[in-house]
Amino acid sequence: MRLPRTSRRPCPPLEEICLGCGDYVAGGAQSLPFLDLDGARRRRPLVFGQVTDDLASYPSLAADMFSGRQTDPVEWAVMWKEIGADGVWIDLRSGDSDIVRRICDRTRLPVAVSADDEVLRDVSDIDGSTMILIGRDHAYDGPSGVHAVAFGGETADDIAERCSAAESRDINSIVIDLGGFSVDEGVSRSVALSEDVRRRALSGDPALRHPTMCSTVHCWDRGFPDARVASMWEAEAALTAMLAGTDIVIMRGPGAADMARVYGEELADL
Amino acid sequence: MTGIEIDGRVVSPEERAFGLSVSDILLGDALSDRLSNIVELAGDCPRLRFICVRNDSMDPSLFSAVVAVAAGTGLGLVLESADPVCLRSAIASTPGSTPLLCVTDPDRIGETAVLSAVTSCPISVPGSDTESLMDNVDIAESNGATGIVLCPGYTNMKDCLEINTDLQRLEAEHSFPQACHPIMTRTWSGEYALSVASVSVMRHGALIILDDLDRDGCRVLQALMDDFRALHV
Repeated sequence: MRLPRTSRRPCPPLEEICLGCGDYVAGGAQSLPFLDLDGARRRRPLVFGQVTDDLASYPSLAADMFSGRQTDPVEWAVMWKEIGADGVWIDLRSGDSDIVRRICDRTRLPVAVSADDEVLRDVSDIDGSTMILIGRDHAYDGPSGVHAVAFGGETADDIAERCSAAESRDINSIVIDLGGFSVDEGVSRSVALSEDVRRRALSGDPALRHPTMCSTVHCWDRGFPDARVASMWEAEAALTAMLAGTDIVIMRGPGAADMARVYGEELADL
Repeated sequence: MTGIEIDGRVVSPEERAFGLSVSDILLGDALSDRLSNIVELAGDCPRLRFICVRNDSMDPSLFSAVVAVAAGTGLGLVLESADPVCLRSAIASTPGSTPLLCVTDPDRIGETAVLSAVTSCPISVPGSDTESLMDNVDIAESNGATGIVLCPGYTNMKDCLEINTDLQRLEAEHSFPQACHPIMTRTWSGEYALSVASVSVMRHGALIILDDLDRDGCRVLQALMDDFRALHV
C-alpha cells in the first residue's frame, strides 16, 4: 500500500548555546522533539542535578541518596558528575558566590545558578565557564558577563516579550525558563507552554529561538513514602518535559536523572 | 479520531484506558491471586479497565477456562492469542461480552476478522511498521471486522514515538482511512514498560496493555492519562 508522506522538512536550527567550558551544547533543535520522521538532530536534552547550600528546605528523602556528601555543596556537585549528570543547578541561598566558583573549578560541568540579584552580580564575574544565571522570584537584570540569563513567563507571549526586551540589552545569550514539570493536573499547562514555545520558534518567531529549560525537582514535594516512588514520578515528569521539547531538565533524584538520561539517549537514537 | 467500544467500555485518545495481563498457564490459587491483585489495583486506578488474557498455553480449553474466570472480575476483556481457533473457543465461554480480539500472528488476521464479524467483537490489528499495519487493516476491513484497534509492533519507546506520530498524521492530515482507528500499545513490565506507555499516552495512544505494573507504576500511568492533553502532532 502506498502511504501519503507524513514527514516534515527540518527548519533551520534554533539557537544553541555552549555551556561550561564549551563542551556541552543545549538547543539547536530543527524539528519537533526526537522525530526521525522530521529529520530531528541526534541530540538529547541535558540533565542537570540539583545542589543547594540550604538543606533545611530540602527533603530528607532525597538527601539520604547522596551518602552524606550533600552537606558540602562542592562535594555534592562532584557526586553529580560522578553519576553522570551533564550539569549542576545550584540553588544558592547563603549568598556565598565562592561556592559557585569552586563547583566550576572542581567539576568543570555546566552550571546554572539561582540566587538573589546581588549574588548573581558577583557570579557574573566568574569566567572560564559559561553559566546560566537565574534570578530568584524575578528575572535577573544585572550584568551577565559571558553567561546566559534565564527568562520565563506564564505564556509564550509573555516569554517572547521578555526575551525581546532582554535582547535589546547587552546579554550574551538567553535561556527560556519554562518553570516546573510534574505529572499532575499542571502537566497540561506545562506541556502546552513548552510545545507552544517550540512550535513558534520553529515557525520563525525570533524571540523564542533560545534553548529552553525546566525543573522537575518539585515532584518530590508530594510526600512520597520512599525514594524509589519519588524517582519514578520525577523520571516520568522529565520524560514528559523532554517530549514537549525542553532542552535542559533540572532534576533532584539521582536515580530519576539517570533514567531521564537513558530515555533521552534512546529517543534521540544515540 | 473516533473511539471504539470494547466489552462495553469506550476507548479513545480522550478516554484512555489501560489493562494488565494474566497468562492462561496460571492455575488455581496463582490465577485467583493474580486476578484479585488486578481487581484491587483497578479499585485504586479507575483507568485500569481491562484484563488481557494471554493464550501462552496454546490450548483452547485452558484459555477458555481462564477467560471465563477473568470475565467474573467485571473488568473488560482483551483476549490475546496467535490462534483464532483459541479465540473462538474463549468467546464462547463468555456469552454476552464483546472482548477485544488480539491475534498475534499477522498471517491469521483474515480469519480473526471473520470471527470479529460473526461475534461483533472488535479486533486489534498488528503490524511491524506503518505500511504493514495499514495493509493488515485493509485485510481486516475486507473480511468484515466489526471494529478495529491499531496495534503497532514496537521494539522500544523510540518506535512508539515515531509510529504513533506517523499514524496520527496519516489520520489528521490525510484522512487516510486505514489509520482512522484508535491506537493500542502492547508493552512489557516494570519501569521501562511504564515509559513506553507514557510515550504512547503523550502521542495519541488510546489503550495500553502491559504484562505487569506495580501499584506505584499504575498510579503514575493513571495520573498521566487523567491529566495529559497534547497540542500538536
